[in-house]
Amino acid sequence: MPSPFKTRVAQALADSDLRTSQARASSRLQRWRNASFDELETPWPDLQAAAAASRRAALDDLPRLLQQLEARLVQRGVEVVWAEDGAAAFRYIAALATARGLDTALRSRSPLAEEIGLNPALAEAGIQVTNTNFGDYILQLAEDRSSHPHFPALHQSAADVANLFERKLDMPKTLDPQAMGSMARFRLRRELPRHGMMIGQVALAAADNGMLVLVSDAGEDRIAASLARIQVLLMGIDQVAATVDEALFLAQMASRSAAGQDMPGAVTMLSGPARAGDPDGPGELHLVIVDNGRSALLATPFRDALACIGCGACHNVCPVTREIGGQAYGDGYTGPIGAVLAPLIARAPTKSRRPTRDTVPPVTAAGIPLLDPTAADLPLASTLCGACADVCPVGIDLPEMLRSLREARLAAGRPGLVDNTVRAAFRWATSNPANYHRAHGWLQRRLTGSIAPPLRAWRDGRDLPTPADKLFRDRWAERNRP
Amino acid sequence: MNNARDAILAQLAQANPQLPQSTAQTPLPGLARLADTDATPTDRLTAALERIGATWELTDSPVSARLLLATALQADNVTRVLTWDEAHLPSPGLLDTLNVLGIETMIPDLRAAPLRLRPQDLDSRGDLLQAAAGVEVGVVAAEVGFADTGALAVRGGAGRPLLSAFLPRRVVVLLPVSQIFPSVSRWLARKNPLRNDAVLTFLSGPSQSLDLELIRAAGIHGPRLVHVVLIGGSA
Repeated sequence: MPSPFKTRVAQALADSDLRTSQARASSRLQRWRNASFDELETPWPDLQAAAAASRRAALDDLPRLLQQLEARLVQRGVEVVWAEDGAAAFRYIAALATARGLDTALRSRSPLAEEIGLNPALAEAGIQVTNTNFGDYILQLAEDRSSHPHFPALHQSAADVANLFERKLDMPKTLDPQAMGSMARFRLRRELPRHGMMIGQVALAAADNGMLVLVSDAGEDRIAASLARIQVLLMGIDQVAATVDEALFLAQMASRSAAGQDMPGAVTMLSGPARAGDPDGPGELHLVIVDNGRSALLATPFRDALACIGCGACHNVCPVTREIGGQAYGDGYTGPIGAVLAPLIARAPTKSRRPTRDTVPPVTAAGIPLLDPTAADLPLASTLCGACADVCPVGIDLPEMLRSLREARLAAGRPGLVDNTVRAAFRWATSNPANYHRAHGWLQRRLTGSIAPPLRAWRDGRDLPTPADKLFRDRWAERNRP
Repeated sequence: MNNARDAILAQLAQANPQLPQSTAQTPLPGLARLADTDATPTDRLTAALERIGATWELTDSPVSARLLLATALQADNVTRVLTWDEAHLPSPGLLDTLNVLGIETMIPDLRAAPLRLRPQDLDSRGDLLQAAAGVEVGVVAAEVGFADTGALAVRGGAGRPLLSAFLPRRVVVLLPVSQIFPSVSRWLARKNPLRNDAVLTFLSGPSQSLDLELIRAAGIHGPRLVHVVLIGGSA
């Protein structure tokens, strides 16, 4: 039985429209990114090295930076809460809403909220959350899930959304994104006054002066910061920089890497709730610092993955991701960084993440738990070409991490019949030239002809070139025959 | 939750046993564009504004900025604007001039709604927001403009409601040319950006989304049009 991941990959590969649109989007985003860095005086390697050094220094010094941040914020009246896992985070938020007599909330773009399954958890507690990010708003209407770290509805075409808006919002059908965006504005503006609580996510916090930096493309965070009476911000324990200068430098590196923007469309820096006399701004500001497996990850060889600033550049450049799209990765993080983080970060159980008996036992070579067993196959979705490491603004060695996770998967002891068969066949075929020649001929025939079911699954899950009628070595021998 | 704090911090300390408590900070590299090397700060800013889809015009004094803005709004048949207290606008007499021309000036204030929300509070906020949302134009000031990116730092606080910048479909931002800095980092090096205010935002052109097929849709959560009036001379 194929794993849920392999099933999703097969579904994605069978959808030629999706593959075409993903490839087109990835190419455009890559082009914008490259042009954005090419125009700068400082060469890319120097920028990457500086961003990497900043993130690693912060990870090395997390306890001090977090306490420094907390002290500054508490001094200004921010309620700082620590949550060991997602359940603790949404318990706090649900209790807060209940205490204030609220049963609705608005939520801006937050990968961390998705990681911990915030919306469904709050819905179970009787609190309905409306997403305000345009992409997330579309997904919520469509009851769909995110496919890209930066543009969550990237897999939806304008025609898909036109049909959706006609069905759910009674909007006359149009393929114009501007018209559909205006409809979303109209609907969301009407919603704004109804909600007392707004939930968002900190992109990076600056420990030196206690500033919470929020970024968004369209500016939903700054509207929230103006209108919210109660603003709740989620922050991973890793999302802290030593200084505000570093936080803004990293935010710019992320926006350039994501879509070639010099600066995120909207940057909001919050230092506390509204002061006496302020005409707008949140009356209460709550910061929920979420661990959810990160502190455990920090003690492993995969600690560098926490340096990620969420730009999605690795997603855009990965030759595998551009074929299978982001949704094949499951409900959470996507692309190469998703293939590393998803097995290692604890996430809320959902229907598509329920462990099956075919998943790998949850232990890595480093002895840390693979907290999400259904994500253990994700590191296989890579050619290990290294493109992701080249474009990563903080220089995370993703290929090496993916290779280590594959090793860990094998070390866990159940590589499976197909893996064992392929491995044994490869050993035999490469043991001497005669075997290699025989294997080559056999493989050539099997790539198009009949083959045993387990190998058929392997073959059919890939786009392989049609083999030549005759082996190269045979043609070479014929050509040179006297 | 205090137990959670202690547990997380203990685990973090355990994960970093041999590492130094703090490291010397190395200077961050600049993000200046090659093409900008010989341009003046004003030229760089205006070029950056155009790249991000904002429009601009340069006036030679606060008085000419006031007259230009007032006549332009009148010519556009604007009847109401959301704005700030005049003390925070770098063009003295602007609000009086607008009022004389029959343009009503509104300074939104949400303090009326108490912290603990009741249905009637939501209604009053709703009424206020509905009235504010019907206003087509906002007039605010930027504290600083960044020449490398075209971002404008807009500081919220008493007399400076951010709603005036983000609710209307069109926003006019006044910026003295003396307040143009080469980059965010150069500005941060000169002064503490926080001061005593709760919120500081960077406005980078119109509110834009690329969520649908990477095609730009403007104005979903903020202004669809951003016009910057650069003010030369002294205020």
